[in-house]
Amino acid sequence: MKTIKDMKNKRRLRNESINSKKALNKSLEDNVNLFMEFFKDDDTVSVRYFSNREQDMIKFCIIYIDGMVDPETVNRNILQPIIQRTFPKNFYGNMDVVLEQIVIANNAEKLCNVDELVVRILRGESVLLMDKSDEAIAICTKGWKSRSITEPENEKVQRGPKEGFVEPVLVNLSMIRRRLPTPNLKFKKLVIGVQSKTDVYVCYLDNIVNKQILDELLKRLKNISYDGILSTGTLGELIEDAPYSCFDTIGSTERPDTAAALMLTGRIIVLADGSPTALTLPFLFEEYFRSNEDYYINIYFSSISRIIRILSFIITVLAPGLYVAILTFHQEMVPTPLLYSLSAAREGIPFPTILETLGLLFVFEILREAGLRITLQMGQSISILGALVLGTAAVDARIVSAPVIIVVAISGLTGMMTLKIKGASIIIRLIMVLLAGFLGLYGMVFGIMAIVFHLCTLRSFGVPYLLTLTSLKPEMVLDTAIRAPIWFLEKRIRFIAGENRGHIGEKE
Amino acid sequence: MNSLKKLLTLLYVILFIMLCTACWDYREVDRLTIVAGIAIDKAYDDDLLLTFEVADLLGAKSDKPIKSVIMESRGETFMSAIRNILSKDNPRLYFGHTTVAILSRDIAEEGAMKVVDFLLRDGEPRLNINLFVSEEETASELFKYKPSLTELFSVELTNIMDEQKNLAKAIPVPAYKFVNAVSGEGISAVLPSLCIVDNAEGKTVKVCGTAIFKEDRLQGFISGEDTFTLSFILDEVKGGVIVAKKDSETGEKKVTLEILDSKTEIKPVYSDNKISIEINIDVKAFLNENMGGIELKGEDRRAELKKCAEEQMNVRIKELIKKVQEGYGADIFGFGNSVYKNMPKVWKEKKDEWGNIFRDLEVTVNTNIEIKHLGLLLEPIKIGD
Repeated sequence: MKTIKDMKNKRRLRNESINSKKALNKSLEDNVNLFMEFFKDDDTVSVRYFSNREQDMIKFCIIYIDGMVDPETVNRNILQPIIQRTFPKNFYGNMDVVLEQIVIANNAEKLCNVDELVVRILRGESVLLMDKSDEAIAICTKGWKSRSITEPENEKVQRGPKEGFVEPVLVNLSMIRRRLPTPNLKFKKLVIGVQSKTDVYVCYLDNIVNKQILDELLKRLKNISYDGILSTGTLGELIEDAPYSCFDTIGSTERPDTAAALMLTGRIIVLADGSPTALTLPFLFEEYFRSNEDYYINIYFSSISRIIRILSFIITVLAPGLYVAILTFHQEMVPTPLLYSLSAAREGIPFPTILETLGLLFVFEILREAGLRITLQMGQSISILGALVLGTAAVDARIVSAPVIIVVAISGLTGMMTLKIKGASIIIRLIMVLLAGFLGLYGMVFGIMAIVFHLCTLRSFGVPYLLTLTSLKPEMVLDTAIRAPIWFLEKRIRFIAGENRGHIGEKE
Repeated sequence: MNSLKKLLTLLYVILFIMLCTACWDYREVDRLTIVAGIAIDKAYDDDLLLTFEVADLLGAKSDKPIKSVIMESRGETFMSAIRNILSKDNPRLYFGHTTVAILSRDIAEEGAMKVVDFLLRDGEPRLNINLFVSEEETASELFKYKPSLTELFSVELTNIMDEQKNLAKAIPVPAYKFVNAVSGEGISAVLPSLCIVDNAEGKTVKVCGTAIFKEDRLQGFISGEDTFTLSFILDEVKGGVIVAKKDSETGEKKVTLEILDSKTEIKPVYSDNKISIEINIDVKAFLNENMGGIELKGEDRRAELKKCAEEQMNVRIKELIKKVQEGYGADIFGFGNSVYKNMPKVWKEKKDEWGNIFRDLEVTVNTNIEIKHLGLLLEPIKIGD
């Protein structure tokens, strides 16, 4: 532990040495050189000298990075006014006049610290320097290409908004803001990442959020000291309550409407620049089985969907284990005709049931992993290969029995129902098969108990992971396995929401 | 340090689970020889001769039904016979799915508990294994007759017993019920009996009637018709048909009543130091067939039919009781048991001489057949010219 602390201290010292304060001076050449020292060997940096057509004794210089700025904005709002227009009479080489009366930009700021200005340039702003001035103006000219707003692949809905988060965080914030146009909506900005300097926004509704959770989150975020936050996944891992658990204690979503709905329950959303996935917290176990569409469609249908999702999770986790346990220890439990056909199907198979099951589960995971990151055309060939090799050839060759394929297929199929919990279910499924193979149902019962105990110990930002499953209060129960009509869900869940707990009947 | 300790503890636990239990009771399903039925005979030198019907899974194809294989083994006791088979066919016999055990006549006459003991004591056979007695020379010969629809004789027999809820001409007796009856106070055991009969194509096995036991020894058999009557007394009727005959000017006419529900109450009456039994049977039925075209329109005509059917039932029941009282002296109806339950003090006094009391026991039977409806036809079909 000591060594880690030492490393952190060293890193901090190093960071401080980089951030040495350097100031501009009155010479334009010197100033430009100052910048070029930072951008040595970086050929994307553009430096352009220019001056007003009437008062050409004052030279200007603009520094920006190609590709990070919108050339149109630079031309029209910086170059054009300075070159073409007649300067006001009170100009006299005053930077304030340039800022206030010449440059046309919604966001411009006067700075004189070179380090700060370098950061601005790196983030896509243009820095305007002027001869005989030790000040510079950072002008917001950000403009880069990004993906257009599309429906997120992983969270598709039939009914409901089809917008998904994209990489630029400000676009994401605007999508949330459009849904919740209230001054209570707060976006708190933090810059995290020693190298990446990622903009991280903590979003919440000030009148609903639980202040303790918010303080805890901000404390954790401020303590992060890490090179690059390139995705909110990294961020999540660094602030999670139980990083060693196979269950997530922080949720994620790519949908702005989900994010808005979660904020209305008092949850907090964390967005990071460059990541289309928002973190949601606190996260409860039961949220694995939720879909935002549940609230947009008929209550009965959404309740059935949820129950099917929960059953699917149970099946995907337990089915292979149950098969192994029953076939090797508890033949009494099988109905007689089924036992006959199972027994006949296994006749002549060289491997014990547990090896057969484990092997096929492994092959299934390979197929899944192979199909995941592959183009659509290749994916088809993989599925044909898998179906042919496993479905027919292996059974015909009497290497595996048909029932195992059925069980693994069911397990795989039901696993697709709850994609968010995939990681955990693969691990649990494997443990269950091993326990079943060694101890039968007895072992499985202990395995299930261990998992339930583990779930009980988990916390997400201090909120018990199984909060809604251990209470009989209507606001907790009515929105879990079933989705009650909205008017039954009068109150927000205690612990997650702050003092203000009424969903409806509340007037500003 | 603490987390290391936790990890070690977990490692210990897993190691001990794996090493100490070591897959106890582990058996692959394809290594089992699943016994469907057992026939228990007596070999010539007092040994037991066990015949097993097992499912032939090796020759099983997915599109064909599973055939059966007959195996045979001898031994001084049940268990030794099972183990002796290992030197012959090397199967690991598995009794978890055995549904049928057939006792031969001589075994049943000697005492059925000798072999039933194993079925209850061993962990594998189920308590609800159906017991039968063979009316033929041996029990094993029944296995030779292939059932007409299923390939496995034992499965067919189990299906037949399940269907008795629509027929009530045999009373299924699982092993535990047999033992309860043998050891119970004031009741004697019965088992369904099997015999070989001619069928459309060759011979087949039929559930003939009921074997009557006293203690655990076979006394004799009663027919299927008598078993139907017995089912009423034992309150085992869930369905079935009553054929009622009615005299008229043009001769005897038959109607069929299908039973919807039946309830029997046995009431012991004790007066003047004398026990008598009252049987109240409540049957709900509907008229299902009117062979003679009896006119049934009108309340009084139906009451007449009802009375006729009830009387016939009373007679049959009384006849059966008399037959058992005189022929076997075994209280298979559980009259003694009803006394034991309803008036334990009286039972304590009369217990020892119950055998004699039963032979002369006075029984009154009240049958009440309620005819719910007449099917889809209200009037008999008119026969024109």
